[in-house]
Amino acid sequence: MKDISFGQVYPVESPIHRLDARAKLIITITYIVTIFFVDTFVVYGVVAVALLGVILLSRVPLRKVLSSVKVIFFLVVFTFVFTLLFNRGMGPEAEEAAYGYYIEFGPFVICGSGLINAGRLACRLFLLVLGPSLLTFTTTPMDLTAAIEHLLSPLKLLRLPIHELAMMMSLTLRLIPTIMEETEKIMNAQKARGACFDHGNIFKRAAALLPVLIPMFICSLKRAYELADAIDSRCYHGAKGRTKMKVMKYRVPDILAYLFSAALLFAVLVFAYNWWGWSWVAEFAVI
Amino acid sequence: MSVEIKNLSYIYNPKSPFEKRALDGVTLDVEDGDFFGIIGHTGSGKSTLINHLNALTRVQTKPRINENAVLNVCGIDLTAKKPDLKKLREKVGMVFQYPEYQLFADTVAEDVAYGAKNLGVDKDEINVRVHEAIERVGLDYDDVAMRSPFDLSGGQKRRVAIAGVIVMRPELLILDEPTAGLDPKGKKDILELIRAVKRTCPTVVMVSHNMDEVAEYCNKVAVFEEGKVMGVFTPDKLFAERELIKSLGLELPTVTELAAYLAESGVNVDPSTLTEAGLESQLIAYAKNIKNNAE
Ligand SMILES: Nc1ncnc2c1ncn2[C@@H]1O[C@H](COP(=O)(O)OP(=O)(O)OP(=O)(O)O)[C@@H](O)[C@H]1O
Ligand SMILES: [Mg+2]
Repeated sequence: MKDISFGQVYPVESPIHRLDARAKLIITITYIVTIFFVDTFVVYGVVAVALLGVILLSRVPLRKVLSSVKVIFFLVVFTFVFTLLFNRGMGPEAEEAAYGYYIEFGPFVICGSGLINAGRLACRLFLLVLGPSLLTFTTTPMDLTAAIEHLLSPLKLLRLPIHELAMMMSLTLRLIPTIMEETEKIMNAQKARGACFDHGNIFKRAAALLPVLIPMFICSLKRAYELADAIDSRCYHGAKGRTKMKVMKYRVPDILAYLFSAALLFAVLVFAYNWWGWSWVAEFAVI
Repeated sequence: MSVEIKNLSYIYNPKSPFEKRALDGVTLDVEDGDFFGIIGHTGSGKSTLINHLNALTRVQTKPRINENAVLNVCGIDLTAKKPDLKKLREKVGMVFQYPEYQLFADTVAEDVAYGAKNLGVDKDEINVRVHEAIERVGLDYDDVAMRSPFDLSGGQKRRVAIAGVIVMRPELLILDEPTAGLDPKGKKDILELIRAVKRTCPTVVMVSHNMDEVAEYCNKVAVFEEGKVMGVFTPDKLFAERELIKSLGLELPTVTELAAYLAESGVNVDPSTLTEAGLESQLIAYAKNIKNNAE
């Protein structure tokens, strides 16, 4: 329960941690878009190197960042195997000619294009997870919600309650660790009374969880009431006329970060479309 | 011997910026029949230690610590890879801080029965035990047994929670701040209850922040500071060591404080008296003495 590495800030001082949360959010979105334009291994390599640079700069241990891939590891293996087995490429003759092999068994096929496609998909998935997880390692949920609120604030013109939504989101994020801690306490208390949560079939296990779930619900409801009282007693009245304690302000590093991510997107686009017809780009990016 | 601990350490979140050494080479023994107190500041590792006694926290081996640690509870070696947890939990009863949060069942009787059921005790025996446990914590079985535990008062809930532990008839009862958040009368009631329970469950370990409780009820006290045991004392020895008490930022029991003050102002009482009853009898003797002298 304690090593859910996704969504936990790694508290060190670094230029990446200090960046404005809005910049980090937009850059992460740009990064995701960028990944979808990549279609060759060489360019995946370029993106990976850029990401590696950012990770090193953030001073979050590489192992820690990589461990967030654990969550989707099976997904990656699955997609890889399925793409490999079902992709028929350009058909038997062309594949044989291009890669020198085309193995068929039953409904499955292993061929050169299939292998390459499966590999690209795997790369794409890995890179897709690593970027956002670096965002959560370097940005507190509070900052992130503030950034989301800020970026969505134009929607207020449409009378959408953006501030309230952001408030709900930050409360939820804030309470997740508390509730996990509480769950563990209650589980411990029931274990001490001889409960066993990892025995028997699925129904037995579900039934065994009841003595944990009921106190959890009661605690959560109680906490919600207390929280509502606490919010009321501090005269909270929603967004109107509310000022910020931490005013978000762009500084030079934020601009540089934007430029860097724009440059990366541009480079990837050049590789993808080769607008100027450069021959070295065409050669460079065959696989 | 009920509990034997040697050189036990524990680190939360090892090798990360959250790393925290909660226990640091703890060594202590709890003999059969002890009423063993554990005191120390917030965050000194008391809860971490007692969670080890019930194997809720396992002896840590991963970052090479605890290589020569010993943790033996009621004859079960907890440094083993797979100790018999069922047997352990039958022998060791554990009452957590704010135990009323563990209540879940529709009725008090059902909730109290939960532990016994988990042990596989048969039905008639469960009924006998539940009845006995509810009465033992000072509640009226006929009154509360069929009520919902959530309709009870805070103090009553806590009693039900304690009943839910003693229904398992443990040999060793561990309590983590059993009196936290109760009013003075509630505190006293719970402690008297523990004293009564101790007649059938011979060994009790109690974590406490309250020096009055420790002085009055415990026969041995371990003092924790930053994950280390600063020493194990009898209460009169501990509270006689004024320097140590002061350096650890602890307080004297109210009674002792009063006795020391009286002794200083010339009343003939022992300045290290630990119990209310003790001070009372000395004051009566003193008063009689004055009266006799006057006659
Ligand atoms: N689950 C946990 N994760 C990380 N650190 C923890 C965890 N539980 C406790 N700690 C840390 O370990 C240290 C010892 O905690 P512990 O709960 O044992 O203290 P305690 O003596 O019981 O305090 P209290 O009197 O407040 O109950 C504390 O510094 C605490 O911050
Ligand atoms: Mg504690």
